[in-house]
Amino acid sequence: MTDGIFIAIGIFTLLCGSSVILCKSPVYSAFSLILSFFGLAGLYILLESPFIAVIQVLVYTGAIVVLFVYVVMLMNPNSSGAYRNWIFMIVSAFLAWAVSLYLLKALTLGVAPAVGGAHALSLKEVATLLFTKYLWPFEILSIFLVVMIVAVFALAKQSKETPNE
Amino acid sequence: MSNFSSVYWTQFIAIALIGLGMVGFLIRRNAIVVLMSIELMLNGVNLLLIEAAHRSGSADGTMLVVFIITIAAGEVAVGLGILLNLYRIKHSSDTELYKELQG
Amino acid sequence: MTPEMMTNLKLFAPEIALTFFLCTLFVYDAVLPSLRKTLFPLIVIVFGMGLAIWATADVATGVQTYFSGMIANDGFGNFFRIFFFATAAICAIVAYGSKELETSGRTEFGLLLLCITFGLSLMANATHLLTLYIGIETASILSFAMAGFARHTLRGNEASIKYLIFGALSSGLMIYGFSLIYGYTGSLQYAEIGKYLTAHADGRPLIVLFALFLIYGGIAYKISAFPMHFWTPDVYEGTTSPVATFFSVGPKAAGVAALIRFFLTACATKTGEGVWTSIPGLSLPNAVAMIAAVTMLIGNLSAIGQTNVKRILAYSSIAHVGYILMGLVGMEKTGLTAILFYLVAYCLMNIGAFWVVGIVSDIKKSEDLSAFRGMGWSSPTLGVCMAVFLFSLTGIPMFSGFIGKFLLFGALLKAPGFLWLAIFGVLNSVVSLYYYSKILKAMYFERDEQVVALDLLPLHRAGLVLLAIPTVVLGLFFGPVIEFAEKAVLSFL
Repeated sequence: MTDGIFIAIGIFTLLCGSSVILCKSPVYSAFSLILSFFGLAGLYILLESPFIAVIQVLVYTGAIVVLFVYVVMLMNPNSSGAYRNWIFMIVSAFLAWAVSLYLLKALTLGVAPAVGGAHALSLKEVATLLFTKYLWPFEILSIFLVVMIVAVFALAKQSKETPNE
Repeated sequence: MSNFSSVYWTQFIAIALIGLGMVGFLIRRNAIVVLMSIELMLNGVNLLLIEAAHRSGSADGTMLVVFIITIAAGEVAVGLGILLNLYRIKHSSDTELYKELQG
Repeated sequence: MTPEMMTNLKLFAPEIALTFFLCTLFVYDAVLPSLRKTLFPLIVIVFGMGLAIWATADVATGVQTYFSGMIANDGFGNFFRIFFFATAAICAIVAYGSKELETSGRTEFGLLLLCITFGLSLMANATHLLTLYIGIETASILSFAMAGFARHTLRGNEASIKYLIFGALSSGLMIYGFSLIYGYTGSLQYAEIGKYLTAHADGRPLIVLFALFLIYGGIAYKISAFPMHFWTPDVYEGTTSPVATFFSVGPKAAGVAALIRFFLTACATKTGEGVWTSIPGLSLPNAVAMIAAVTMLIGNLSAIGQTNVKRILAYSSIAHVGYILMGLVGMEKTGLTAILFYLVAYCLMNIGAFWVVGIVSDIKKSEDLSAFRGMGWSSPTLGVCMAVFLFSLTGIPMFSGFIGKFLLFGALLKAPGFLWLAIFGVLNSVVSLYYYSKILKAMYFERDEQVVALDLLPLHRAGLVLLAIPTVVLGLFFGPVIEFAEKAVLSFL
């Protein structure tokens, strides 16, 4: 039963993913991206990682894709000439397909060791880890995000000084 | 859920997503869609990590995913900021038109 | 607060000092915006870097990992810490004298510089893939923004979007490599990965090599080595000169350090005092030798046909990465010592050369070879300093670049079977003489139609001379630096 749901959600995610790269209009791409992220959130729940599933919906769908949609709206999407030339397309698609297929075969051959045996990470465990072992990278990330906000401000602000060109 | 077929399926989906991202990166001309393809790729990677963390029972993979998601948000913010600046000058987000620098 | 936490924080003091000055700059800029027109941002950065160097000297005694084994504190890492802090301080001075950056943007530049330096230090000291990832992303995402500071120019924006798109792709591929390695070994710690790969050498799937290649690709983007070198000339040409100056030194050194630390810990085992052997089934020396050869060939051949001096220097910086990677081929201490010495020499001469280009383009609004015509006569300081930097970059005896190359080639000859690479490297140096001498020829043997007086600020004069003197002195009295580098390599974790 779960396997059936798993496969169904997987196929849904892949279909939405392909529609991201095939839709001519960036708006449709963005909406397909949202749907595929929802599919991924479903997969995370099936893989017993509800915390990541929630983050996926909140951060990816709620923040990142909304940013994309916002910029697409600002930019007046032009749908002419969405793709590069078709030879390029076919070659790249073939290459990606072949490499992926090969990798899949190679991956399942080298299945990793089960260190502690499969077990799900509860929300409490995630929180404890995030504030003990992973507190340090967490703090670094906060510095990074603050400076990044400054950087984006600096990029976006209108300057009174005359442009060079 | 830790039988062979689900491992196989998850890896298949993850690698297919990464492949889709690569193809999108290569074939699309619109810079915004190129950034979306990269996001798709990152999600494939996240799925692979979550699967490995679930299989091996270690927490490192899950934590790495949390950090990847946060950093991806930052990357997109900076990327779209630069893209808007470029759009103000060029009035297009078509990467094939960005040909100033060559030689 | 546990005692363990206190020790950890003490070892992390240099980076904490950077954060403190970052916050200082941030708060003062918000409260007193008029300060950004003064020397204040520069003073904060230089003072902060000085304090960070002092703090590094204070912790540079132990050899251990801290913060749950995520980051290392050893002589090697501390050498690089001091290197980054000094480079960032010099680059802040370069940026201060430049007219390309708006005066109102100085604080933002300072903040980004401080935070990128923070990221570089993490990259060089990481012993855990998560730390490496955060370090690389902190350094690169903020670099994208920094490259975008030339935001009114089409070229600047184009450079920065190219930098961003390919950077995002390469970091995506890099974490793809991380995830494959994690799926195979079940760990993100370098040492654990190394142990697992050594123990399970038989029947290792090819995918592990693929994953290692992807990780190499992610780091290669930062050091602009083959196959991720193509962005370098475009980005350096498009962005402002001070930013290009910083990119050509800081991130490259950090990438080299990260590369050395990752591959010597995760893909090799220490078999003696300063000697490493790669894990069975993976010939690291051969791989590095091929990459080094291709990288220097591409850099030098592409530089020949260029007329834009910044592009020439960008290609030459690719070639120099090729030379630097030669030191890793032998996988022992003389090679690594040579790398560290070469990085010091490279820092001095490359910053100097880029600075001269920046000054010329400020005055003449052009970075073309024609802008350099007759410069040796119209402005002797600029001419002589540029000549010193170019001689050193070529590797002419009596200059520090020569000693660096000499050490690299010498280390290579110790490793059996790599004579071809040494010869190849020497031939490449000869090729590089051609394009460096093109700049020299323009400066001294060609006359400009209209003579433009080059008014140099006292800051420029003093700064260039202060960079040129060590470039020469290091070519004559190299002992102390080599000793220092050797000590650093020997305490590699």
